[in-house]
Formats: sequence, C-alpha cells, structure tokens
Amino acid sequence: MIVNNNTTLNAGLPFGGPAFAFFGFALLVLSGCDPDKGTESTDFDRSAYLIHTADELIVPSYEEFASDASNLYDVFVGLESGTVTSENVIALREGLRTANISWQQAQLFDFGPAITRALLVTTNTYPTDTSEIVAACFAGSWTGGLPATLNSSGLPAMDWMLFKGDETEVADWFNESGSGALAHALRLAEFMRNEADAVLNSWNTDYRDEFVASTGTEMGSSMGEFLNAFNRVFEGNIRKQKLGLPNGAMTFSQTPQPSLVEAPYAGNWSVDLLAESLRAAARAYFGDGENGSTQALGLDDYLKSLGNVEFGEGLHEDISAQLASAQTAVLLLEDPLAEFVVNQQATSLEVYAELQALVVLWKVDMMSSLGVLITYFDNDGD
Amino acid sequence: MQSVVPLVTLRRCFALLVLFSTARFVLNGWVQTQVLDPVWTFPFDGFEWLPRPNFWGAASLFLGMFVGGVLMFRDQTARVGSLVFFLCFTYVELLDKSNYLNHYYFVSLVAFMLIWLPTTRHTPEVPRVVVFSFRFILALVYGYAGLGKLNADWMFHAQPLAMWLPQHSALPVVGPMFAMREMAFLFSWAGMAFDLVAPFALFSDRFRPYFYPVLVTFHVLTWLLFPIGVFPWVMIACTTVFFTDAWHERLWSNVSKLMPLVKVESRICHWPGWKGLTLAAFLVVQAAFPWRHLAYDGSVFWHEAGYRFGWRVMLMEKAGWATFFIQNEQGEEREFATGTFLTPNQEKMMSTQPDLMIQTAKHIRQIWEDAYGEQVRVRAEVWASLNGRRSQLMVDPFLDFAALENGWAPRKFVLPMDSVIRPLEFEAMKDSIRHAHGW
Repeated sequence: MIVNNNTTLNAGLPFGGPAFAFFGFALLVLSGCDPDKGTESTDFDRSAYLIHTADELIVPSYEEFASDASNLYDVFVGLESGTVTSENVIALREGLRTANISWQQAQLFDFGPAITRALLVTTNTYPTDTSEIVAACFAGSWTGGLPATLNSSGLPAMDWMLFKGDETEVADWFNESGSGALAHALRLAEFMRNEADAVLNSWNTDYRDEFVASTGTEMGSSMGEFLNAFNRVFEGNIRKQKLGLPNGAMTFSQTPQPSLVEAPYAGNWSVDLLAESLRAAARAYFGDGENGSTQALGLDDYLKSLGNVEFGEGLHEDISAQLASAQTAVLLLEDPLAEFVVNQQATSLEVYAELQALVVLWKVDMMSSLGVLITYFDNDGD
Repeated sequence: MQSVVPLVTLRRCFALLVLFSTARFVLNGWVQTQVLDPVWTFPFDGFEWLPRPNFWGAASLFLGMFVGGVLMFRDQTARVGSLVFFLCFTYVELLDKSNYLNHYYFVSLVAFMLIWLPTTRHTPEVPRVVVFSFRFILALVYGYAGLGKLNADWMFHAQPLAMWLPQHSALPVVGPMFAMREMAFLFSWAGMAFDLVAPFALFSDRFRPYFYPVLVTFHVLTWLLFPIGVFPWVMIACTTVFFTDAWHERLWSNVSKLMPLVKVESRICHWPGWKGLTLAAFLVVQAAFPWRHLAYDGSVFWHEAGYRFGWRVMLMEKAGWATFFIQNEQGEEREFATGTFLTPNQEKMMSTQPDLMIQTAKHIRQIWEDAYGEQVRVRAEVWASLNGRRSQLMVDPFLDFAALENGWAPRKFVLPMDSVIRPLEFEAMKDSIRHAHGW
C-alpha cells in the first residue's frame, strides 16, 4: 500500500520522500509569495543586535562608570588627612555625583561578569548602614564584597560620608586624626573602582565575544540574560527602589518612607538619578539615546520585526508612548524627593503608576512577543 | 482479529524514543533544574502526597525509565517494562504542573496502554479493537489540536504564529519570508487544515500514502521552528501504526535480514468481552475529557479551566507577571517575593496559570505561618497578555487566594477576558476596588 515509503526504506534513505516533499513545499511557498509584500515586518539580525548592544551600549557604559569611579578614587588619593579643605569635599561630591549618574546606565546590564562580581549590590545597596560605616572607619580595615558589608558599601556609603554634614564639617571629619574617615572613604572608592575595572576587564577580555557569539534563544543565551536583567533591574531597582518604596506605593498603609530614597544625604540627587535611570532604560531599549528616531538596533526594532500588530497599535509604539509618558511624569517630581513623597504623595503615586505601566509593557507584553525566545525548557505552548 | 505487527513497530519505536528522550532529559541537565533544584513544586491536584525525590530518588526514577524503556522494547518483557517506565515517568510528571506538556501526557498515556494491551509477537493475532485503540488516540491528538485552532486568534489574526515565525527572519534564504504576515496566515491555516484532515487521511488506505510525507514535513517544520522537544519524532514514529500489516511485515523482514530477531513462542490471544468493553470505555473517556472546558464560561485560553489533557498544542502565547501581597491581622500589607522559592520556569508558568497562583498563595501563607506563627491573607496582582494583546489585569486583585481551592468549580476569581483593565486604569481605581472588596 505505502509503496513509496517501503522503497525509500529499502534504499536506506528513510526520509527521502518526505525530505523531497519538504523542499517541494518550501519551493511552493517561495514561488507563491512576493517578498516585497507585507512590509509591516522586517527581518532582524540577532547577531548584529548583540554586537551593537555589546559595543555601543554595554562596554561604553562600563567604561564610563569605571572611569568615573577611577576619577573619584584619584581625588581621594590626592588628599591627606589634616589638609582636607571644603573645596576638596566639593570636588569629591562632584566626583561622586558623576559616578552615580553613569552608574544608572551600567546597572541595567546586571548579568555575566556583573553578576559574578555582584557589582550591583556592592555598588548601590541602600539605605546604607551608617553605624557600620563608623565602625569600619574606627576599625581601620574593611573588606568589600562580603554579605556583611553590602549595607555599607559603594555609592550610598560615600553619599553619607560626603554629605553627613556641610562641606566644612565633612572636611573636619576627614582631618580629625583617629576618625579613620578619610582612609575608609578611600577604601570604599578603591573597592568600587576595582570592581568596576574587573567587570569592564571581563567584558573586554572574553565575555564580549562570548556574548555576541551566543545568538541562540534558550535560557542562558545572551538575549535571555540581557532581557531578564533589564526587566529585573527596571522593576526592582528603578521602579520599586527609587520611587515605590519611598512613596509608600508598595505598602498597604501607603505611608511614605522618605529615608528610603536614593542618595538621601546629598538630598538633591534622587529625582535626577531616577530620571537618568529612565533615560538609561530608554537607551537600552532603543539602542541609543535618540528614542527610536535613528537606525540604531534596539529592542524596538526587534519588536517591529516580530509584527505584534494584530490587536491595536504595534507594541513598539505603545512602549515608546508609555516611555515618553513616564519620562514626562518624572518631571513632576522635585528634589528633595524625601520631602516630596511626604508633601505631594498623590503626585508621586501618579508617577509611580506610569512606571508600573512601563514595567508591565516590558515585562509582560514585550516578553510575550519574544515568547519562544526565552525558553527554559521544552515547550508545546502551554 | 488482525496482525499484531503494527503494534510491535509502535511499541519498539516508542521504546527507542522514550530511551532517547530520557537520555536527552538527563544530558540536558534537566533532572537537576526541573526535578532537584526547585525548592517547592506544584503537584497535580490529588497527588500532593507524593514525596519529592532527593538525588538518589531522582536517580532511581530516571534509571527506572531507562530500564523500563529497554524492557519495553523486548517482546519477552514488554509489559513489565511498560509498567516500570509508566510509573517512573508519570511519578516525575505528577510532581510539578509547571513541567506539564501535552506530549508528556501522551507518553504516559501510551505507556499505560502498553501495560494492558497485547503488543508483542507472542500474540501474532490480536482483536482489531486493540490496534484501533492506538490509532484512535493518535487521531484524537491531531483532531483536537485541529479543533483547538478553530478560534478567531488563530484563524483571523494568525496568532500566535504571527509573533513566533518572524523570530526566524534572520535565517538565510527563507528568513525574510518568515517576517511576512502572509506566512503566518499560511502556516496557521495550513496547520489547522493538516490537523483536522489528519485523522481521516490516516485512517484512509487511499490517502495515507500521500498524507504521510506531508505529516513528516509538518513535524520536521515544527521541530525546526519551535522548542518542541521530541514530540515531532514521537508523532512521526507512532503514526506508522496506521500503515498496513503488509508494510509492517516487510519492515520487520527487512530488519531481520540485518539482525535476526529472537524467536518467541506464540499463543492465542484470549480477549473476553469485558476487556473490549473496558477498552471502549477508556477510549470514550479519552475522547470526552478534553471537552470539559465547555462547562466553563469564557475563554479556556484565559482561565485555563479544563485546559490540560486536551491536546491544545502550540495554540497560544501567554505571558504574565504575578506579584503577591500578604496582609496580617493588623491590616499591615507587604509584598512577598516568589523568586525565593520558585525557579524562573515555575515563575513563568505560575504567572499565567490560575490554579498555580492558588497553590503559590497557600504556600506563602504556610511559609509565613511557619516563620512567624501569624495568619495572613494573600492577594495577587497579575498582569497577563494573551496572543499579542496588551496585558490586562487577570485575577481579582483583592481576594484571599490562600482561601481558594483548586477543583472543578468555575474559576470566578479570574476576571473575564473582555473586561480589560490596563495598568494605569487599575492604579487610578485601586483604592475604590480595595474598599469595595473590604480588603
């Protein structure tokens, strides 16, 4: 009955017939479709995207942060206890601010070498534990990167040390023999610089090549690692930590908790840092700082290529719109954020809602569009 | 009565494939990630009592699958092998709903049938109903997969294929075609037609020779395009059971030229009427069970009541984000992160499957009670997106999920899919809903 199958089996080519049918089908499809039609979708080269992401986004962001961390360290190194002036403190504060700003971009790439070195938690865990810092100053030694020292490490620890009083008071503290303050601040700056250098170094030596070579779609592939880190940091470290916790959105009673803002001692940085992190997320999404107006390969291009347009506007348009709306909303916030969340909590909750809507679009809609992409396991669509 | 030989082919192919599949599972490190790593799992309802295997337990289960597979292959030990394989395999599947796949269910089902039905050369002649039962189950898989595609998303929006296919747009030569919408529609309708035609074409002696190459093409394509595992190969191999006895005889006479087959004693297959009736009843249950979703209002893709064990294969793309909140007796509320006790895969599955949300909530209540001796209510804010729609609120956000029970009752706590609540709307009306629910 099944003559063709039997003959192919005898010929030792078990799937000869079907394979022929497969190519026949492919040819049929090829000849039947005009490739110029259906222009709403474009093809997307994951390999080119990964190269762009590594070379134009990730490595430059680590270079900038490592350089800022190094500059801050250099300012500390140039100081000598006993001769620190308030001008020195102002220079240190400026150095810390610059590093804090460039960190907002680097934090989004929390995978690979950054995870290995726990860069995110050693660099920006807050609120910082001030009594731990004082103890470390007196102890005269300190080891960064231990679970026990995460709460008194990185940018937040230096925020307190440089802003615990006005610049004269801080200079006096640094000059006070026996306080150990300047030496400890130097240790903090050195550790942060070393960690940033180590991560950058990892990327430059081998991880970059590993990253761009892993064009697959399984868990642990570069796309998977990057997207999971991006969503996790935006949801947890930006939406929740920078605004959701301070303004009380995360708690039932909605009591503002002003002490939880980022860089509380500097006082006037919190909103800038939030706005910068939003710009950084936009850069990571669009592939450059131009909000999708350029050809730079970004996640927006990926979404366009996937043609999620069946139900309403294209997803990439909805995300662009929500991103713009969130960036506009953040302008409503005013520093000091610690006071704003108390005095104008309703406004800050509205801004939070805009961030929340963006998280949903990125974490659910975008990931669903990239659905088959991030697979942990065999999947037959359940 | 008819020749047993199609079933001999089926059983042996099936045994080889489960051996391959088990080896693949072990070599991919999935014993670790899917069985051992999870801190906690989602057992199937009614099987919560099954103990979680430790390393040696898991090693025994997977060794059991190997041994069972080998014994299943041999005519002399086919039934005991099928039994051992079925028990070990099904045990692992019952441990965690988040690992559920239709094709795992298919494997359990076929292994179960191989325990009871005569499929060896010991019984050269078997009742027609025995051969028919395997064909019927296969026809069900295709037929129900086809019926599942008869919905607006699949037919008129080409979803989810319109999202899945363009991911291959960077392939050489054929890539650009996958970026076209026409391609998604072509694949959707062709796939639907294929599934619906398959049961009839496979049973037809006239059309089967032409249909089988199409079937192989279809499965090879799905294997190339989607992370679907060994399912395509299982179907390609198992559907040979529809071929004529003569084809199978020729197959084995060719094989015996290469390697002589062991002679076995043959005996008459006794098949009293009650066996036929039991088998018929089994098949009726298999045919009826996937229809249970009709008892529930709303989209089965959304609430997923009656979704599993229904051969709904590659039919939807769903993603979600579930955040759990606990509230103590003083009314203090806080978020409870699930990442501490769920693996990424479990979290992904839980975020779209309502019964897993209930299990998660109950577990959170238990964790809290064990740690602080305090009773808490557990609510969930869940955002989900189905087939490329924008995400919407999926379940009642102010309901104590830990107090709900999984069962056959309609899932009233799942918001209807047509009552679309978007994130900004929810934030705006959150307080009024909260008060209305007395939370």
